[in-house]
Amino acid sequence: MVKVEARTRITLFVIFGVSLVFGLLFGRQAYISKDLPRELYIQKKLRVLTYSTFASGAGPGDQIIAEFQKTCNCKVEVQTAGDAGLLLERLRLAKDNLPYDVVIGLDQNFLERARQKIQWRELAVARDNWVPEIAALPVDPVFIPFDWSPLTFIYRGNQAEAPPKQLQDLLEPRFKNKLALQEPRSSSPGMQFFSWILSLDGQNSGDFLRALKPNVASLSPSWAFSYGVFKNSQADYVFSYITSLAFHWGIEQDRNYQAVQMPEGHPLQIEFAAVPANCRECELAEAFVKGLVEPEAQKVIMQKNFMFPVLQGLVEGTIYAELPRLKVRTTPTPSAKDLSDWDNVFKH
Amino acid sequence: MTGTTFSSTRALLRLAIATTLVSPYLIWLAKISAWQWPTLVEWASPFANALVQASLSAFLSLGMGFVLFLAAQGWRAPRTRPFLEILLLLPNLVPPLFVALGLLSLFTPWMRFPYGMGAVVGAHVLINAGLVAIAFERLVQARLGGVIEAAWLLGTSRWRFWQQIGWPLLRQDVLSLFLFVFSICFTSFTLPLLLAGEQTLTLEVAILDLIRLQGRWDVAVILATTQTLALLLFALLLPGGFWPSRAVDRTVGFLGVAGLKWLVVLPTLIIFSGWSVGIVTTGIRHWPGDLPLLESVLTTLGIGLGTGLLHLMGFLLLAYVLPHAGLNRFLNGYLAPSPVITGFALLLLPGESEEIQLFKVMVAITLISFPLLYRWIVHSALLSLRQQIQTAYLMGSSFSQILFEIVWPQAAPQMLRASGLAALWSAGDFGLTGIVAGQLNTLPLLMESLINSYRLESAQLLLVPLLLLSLCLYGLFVGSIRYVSR
Repeated sequence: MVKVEARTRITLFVIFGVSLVFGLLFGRQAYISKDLPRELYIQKKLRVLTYSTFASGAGPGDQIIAEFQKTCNCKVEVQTAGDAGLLLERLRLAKDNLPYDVVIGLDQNFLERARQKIQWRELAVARDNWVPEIAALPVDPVFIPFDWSPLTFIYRGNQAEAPPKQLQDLLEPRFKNKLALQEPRSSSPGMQFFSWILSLDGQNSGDFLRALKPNVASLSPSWAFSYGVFKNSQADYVFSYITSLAFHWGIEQDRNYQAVQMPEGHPLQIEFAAVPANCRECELAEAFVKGLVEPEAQKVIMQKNFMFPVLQGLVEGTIYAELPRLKVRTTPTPSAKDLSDWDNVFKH
Repeated sequence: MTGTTFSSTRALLRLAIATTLVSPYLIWLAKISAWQWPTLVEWASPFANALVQASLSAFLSLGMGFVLFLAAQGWRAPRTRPFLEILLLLPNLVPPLFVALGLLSLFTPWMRFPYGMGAVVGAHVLINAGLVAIAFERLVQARLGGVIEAAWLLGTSRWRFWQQIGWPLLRQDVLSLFLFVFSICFTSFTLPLLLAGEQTLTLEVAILDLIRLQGRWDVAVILATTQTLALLLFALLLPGGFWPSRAVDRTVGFLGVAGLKWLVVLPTLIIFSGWSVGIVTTGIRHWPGDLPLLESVLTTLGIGLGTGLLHLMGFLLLAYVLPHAGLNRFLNGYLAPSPVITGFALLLLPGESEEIQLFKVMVAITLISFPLLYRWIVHSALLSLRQQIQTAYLMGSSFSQILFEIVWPQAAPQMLRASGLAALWSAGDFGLTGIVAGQLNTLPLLMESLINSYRLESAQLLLVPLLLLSLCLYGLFVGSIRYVSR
């Protein structure tokens, strides 16, 4: 009697558990695909590789892809990686197995490595309506910019007395423990900050960083963490995108957040999309990238990625038109030697 | 099935289990064609840092865990026990990013945050001390339960009890517990990344940097192997599992220190104060309306339940192939490579539909947590059944008879508890899910996405459903213990 009872219980338990898992999986699938037509499953498949924030629930990817799928007669399959560095590695590893058709989210710091490690397809994308900051870039038929923003220090007006007026002001003792920065090796804004310093006075960047060090309250491995530090009021200034103000002013309706404007000019973060040379659905891929720089997708990127569009004429009438126009400057990509200078200051 | 076929099947299954567990390494061995050894700079300092950090974290977690155990004994009423267990487990469920931000919130109004080894160790202690306290309670009840009652009746002082009875009897188990916490802290990734600052790069962080910045998988795999071998060595030197093979519910209230009883809330209080300070500071100004919450909850539930069941199946399979000294030694010392290496190894395998990716997430988490949970909880239960199983095999019992009549009735509580912990951890997983299937909507990934879209406070609020969901999953497995062993 005991034997049968134990056997029944274990069997029931396992069956119940397994069924519940599969029920949840299929329920989830049914929920996701409730509006999708049956033909979708026999259509061409476009494989997109991007960073997780772009494809996530709060990012712009879902909406852009849904719009594209309405017209392409195809299914877009999205795969993700944590950031641009891991994106490239995933792309490199997939090369021999199942290649990707579109890559979204490379930034300037990874373009050189991307060019060296992967072969890319040249794309014919119209550039006649680009904003001046992007039109000024050297013509590149491979990497197509789809959003951008200058970087600067964001602060709360009611907490910060007399914000810095030039970069040199950041070294003053009144900013002691006030700055939230990012580590250049693990964060793109961190790399941009370092390249900014290098572009101003490369020879003496070590001295500048040494003088800046006491004023750094937090040096974070990611932009998200440093912004969290700032939002939790653990630092008065955070190095971030000027477009961060679009979120605070537009979504939170809080004009207390402000941006520092430096006469030296600010570094620029640009995000690129590209099509690997070994793409399978190359025409679809090209159409997708072109679609990214069409007004509809650009508006979604503004709304959900909080970055400037690359097309002219879209910011008018939006909160982006009210953001301070920062002077931008060209910055170098830091070399390994430069990075070791950074280490010398912050690791010792 | 003849005796020979039966034993060859078991031998093959043993090989299959070991191969599956080391499969991330095997995949990379097949994938990487050229190998280069890491330079001394690349491995020596991160390895030493990881070693010191993990040793300090484990030592202090044990100390704090012991104090929490004494504090927990101050609560005598039986109905408080389940709440105490949840209270002690909660810090272990909070995503590391929130732990780090919470600590920052608490420190920075008073002083500059002490980034570095101390911060990482402190955070590890806060997270793991509760888990250690629960382990201590199980241990003391099982090993010392009867002696405590006698000591109490004879009027022995607590100090004398620990000095002359408790410590000598528990010494080996405590060493094993030390190794368990050491393993968790040695391979910890997010907290060292966030709190170590620039000075203390650990092995896990070095591995990620090598991959992201230089694409040097060969060196990364070698470093991960070094880490695994080091832990294997420690495991061989230290004794085996410590979780009592049988649940014993004895009163150990004599050991409780009533004056300390409120200390039991300390880790949870610290972590949740930091969390609430964050919410109060920023305030909820805008809640995004179009979040895929239902889908995220379903996917998170699916991952948690699936991972828990995979563990359960794995433990049952082990019951079939054990006892075997070699496999047992391997399982007691083996630790999976770092999440990024394990995750990318699974990405190299075919199958990229959402369902397969979901399955890969469960497998990836299982590859990492299975050996740890086996060593911690299930090992001693299976060990205690060794003689019964061997005798049954010799007498010609079939596996189903052994499983249903020996293994399951006696080891189900440990297996279900370990599977519950796996379900609980996997529901809150950011790292591996992000690598293997970052496009899925799970609650942790949704939180990450919100943080990356300026909505830290909304992400902090999502912690509440995530904790509830994780506890429900844990409760489902642990609650089943009562049902299956009734």
